[in-house]
Amino acid sequence: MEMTESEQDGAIIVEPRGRIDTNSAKPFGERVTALIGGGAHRVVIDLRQIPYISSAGFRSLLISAKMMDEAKGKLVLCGMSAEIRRLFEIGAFTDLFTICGTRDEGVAKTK
Amino acid sequence: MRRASWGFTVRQIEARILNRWEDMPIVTSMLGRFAGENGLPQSVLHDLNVVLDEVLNNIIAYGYEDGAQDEIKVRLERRDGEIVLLIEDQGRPFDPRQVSAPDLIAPLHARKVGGLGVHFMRSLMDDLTYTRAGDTNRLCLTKKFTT
Repeated sequence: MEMTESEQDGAIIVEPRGRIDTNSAKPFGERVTALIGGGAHRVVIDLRQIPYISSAGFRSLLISAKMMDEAKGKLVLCGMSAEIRRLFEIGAFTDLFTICGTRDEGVAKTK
Repeated sequence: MRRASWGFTVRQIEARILNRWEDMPIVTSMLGRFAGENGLPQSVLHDLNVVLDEVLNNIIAYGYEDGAQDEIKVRLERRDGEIVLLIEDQGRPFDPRQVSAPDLIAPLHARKVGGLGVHFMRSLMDDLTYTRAGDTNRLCLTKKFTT
């Protein structure tokens, strides 16, 4: 899995590419928590290039969301496919995350 | 005379991997090829990918004593309107049907993801059977679909 980071209107955009599975969930989560720990309190994770997320990936997302919550910042997810959205519903995560359609909406939600 | 075969469809495909993370791409690439050749809908490929990751994660992470080596068999079979996924290993007995449902209610700070993988497995598949035969775990998962 590869990951690019950029900035838009003061928010950090993280865009992972590839599957977030058992193998890649840990480095993905560590990168996001390092950003939050380093002071990034407005973060958007753009999931448009993610074909699927397994439970290991949800663990990483949950750890990141808890950390951001404690830092009083905003973590927003955008760009997820219908299939990934269904996993959020099955796992009852839709109420725990701010989920947006597009990156621009996501950036606006971090304000 | 032998006739040329056109549009050959792989109805059954099987891989044997060792119980190590490095071998998982062998299974995911097999699944991708199988899905392409059988014209499986994107949503079915997605669900099978998630479920395979969960099943193999459980076996590799929790099935063995440290350093124990095993061969895991993964078989995909297309039947009429359904895909049957069979996984066999010789690790510790593990019946996913006995795993408690995860916590789906707790607020963010208290939420845990224990049992989530099995919850995905049961929610995404239409049928799940488990048998322990001798020293072998045999997990059979069925996904129905329409093309």
